[in-house]
Amino acid sequence: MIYLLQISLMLILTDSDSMGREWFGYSSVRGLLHQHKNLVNQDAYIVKCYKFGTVFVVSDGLGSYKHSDIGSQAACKAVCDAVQKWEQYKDKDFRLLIPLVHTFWNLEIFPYPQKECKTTCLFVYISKEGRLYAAQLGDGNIYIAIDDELELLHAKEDEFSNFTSGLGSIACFDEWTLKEYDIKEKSVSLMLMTDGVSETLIEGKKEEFVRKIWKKMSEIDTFSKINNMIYSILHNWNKINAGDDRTIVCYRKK
Amino acid sequence: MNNSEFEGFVMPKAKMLPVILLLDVSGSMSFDGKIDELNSSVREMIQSFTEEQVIQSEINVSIITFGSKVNLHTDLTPAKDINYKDLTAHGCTCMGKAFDMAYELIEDKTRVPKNAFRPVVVLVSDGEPYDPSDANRIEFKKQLARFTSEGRSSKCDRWSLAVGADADIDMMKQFLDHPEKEVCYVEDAADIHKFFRFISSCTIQRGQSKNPNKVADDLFTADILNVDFDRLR
Repeated sequence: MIYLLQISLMLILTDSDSMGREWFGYSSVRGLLHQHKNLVNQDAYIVKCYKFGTVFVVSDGLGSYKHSDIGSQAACKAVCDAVQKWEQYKDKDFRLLIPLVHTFWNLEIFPYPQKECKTTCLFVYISKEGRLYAAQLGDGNIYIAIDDELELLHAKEDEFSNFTSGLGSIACFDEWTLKEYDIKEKSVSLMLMTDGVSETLIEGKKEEFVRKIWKKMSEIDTFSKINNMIYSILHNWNKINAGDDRTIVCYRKK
Repeated sequence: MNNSEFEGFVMPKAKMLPVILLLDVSGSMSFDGKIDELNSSVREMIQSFTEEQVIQSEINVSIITFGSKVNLHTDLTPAKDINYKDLTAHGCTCMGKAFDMAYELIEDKTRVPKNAFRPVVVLVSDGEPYDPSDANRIEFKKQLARFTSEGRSSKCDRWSLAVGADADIDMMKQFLDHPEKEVCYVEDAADIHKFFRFISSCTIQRGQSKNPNKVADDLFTADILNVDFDRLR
């Protein structure tokens, strides 16, 4: 079970005139079915701050594949590498990030075969220039609130689907959901979650759950307490629906 | 933090994993002990579902029988709550109407909720479909086509068991949901339970897997009657 945490402490709970106040929080727990089968947590996440912006990623290794945990960890690393490369281009077409993510992911999983490393990939990149880029491939949810207007990036529609899109298993880049926002001078709240969370929440209560976590995290004054709160929520999940690995990454800026 | 603040957001029940059995109870099933073997196999399947620990998915079973009439023997019910009553065989083989009943059941979101896992549908028959009101099978072809290619039933995990040489294997092949799947054929009624053990094991395995909607690819080509169940589980 490896989480890729490379967050600059300088940016946690910062409070300055130029950027407002920021809160970060994240945690992941292994599902009961994986505990019973003595399997590792196949979710991975990363929050990484660069001089040009901050990257948030969650990924969920698709089960029944041999190296799903390697695939999900590679997704986190690949998004970070892709954003760094993409930032060097003059014409920042968001769509170009996607083939870069796939390329870096392929490099990252080598020498393991793609088909054994399939993984979902959900990420958000907030640039210092005041742009927010959100992308999703596969199950899970990304909630974004800009000036308190809440949006779910991609709602799952397909019933009984036996096929989850993921790195290593798509036919074309159109399977990604992409959206870009102008967030200059605006407050921003984010939550990325794997399907162990999103698929087991009561449908009509998801938004309330998300807003409640955002509210609670902004009432907490230390980074470790926020993470403890998220861990506690995930750890105390109703046992009957705690079979899958569960991961939440959240962020708030006022 | 007060953990109780975050109670009530997670679904209190496991998601439903529906298993829908379409069972032939035409008169021919009364020969060679077929109906008795079918009854004991279904009983064993329900028992095996009952013994599984409920995490993430709860197996619900529905039984639709077809003879002279189509009958909803058991509506979708958690396996542990089923009080199975033996089937009796008589009459012709109104299979098409059973497809219609199953189609309506699967489409009904009050019975198969939107968040349910992909249903397993099992067809068992020992003969050709025959409905006196549709002797040329014109309606039957439409019923089969609708079940396999329209709506939610088209996305189900579908299996079929042909019992004896009179079964319509070609039609039962069309019922399946994947080109690599084959109709399971048993000559001897005593082998019916092997098929049901296979379906039980696959379903339990699915219910406890990372993605319960997915059927492991290697099961499509499994030798159903000679599966190493310990390995499968």
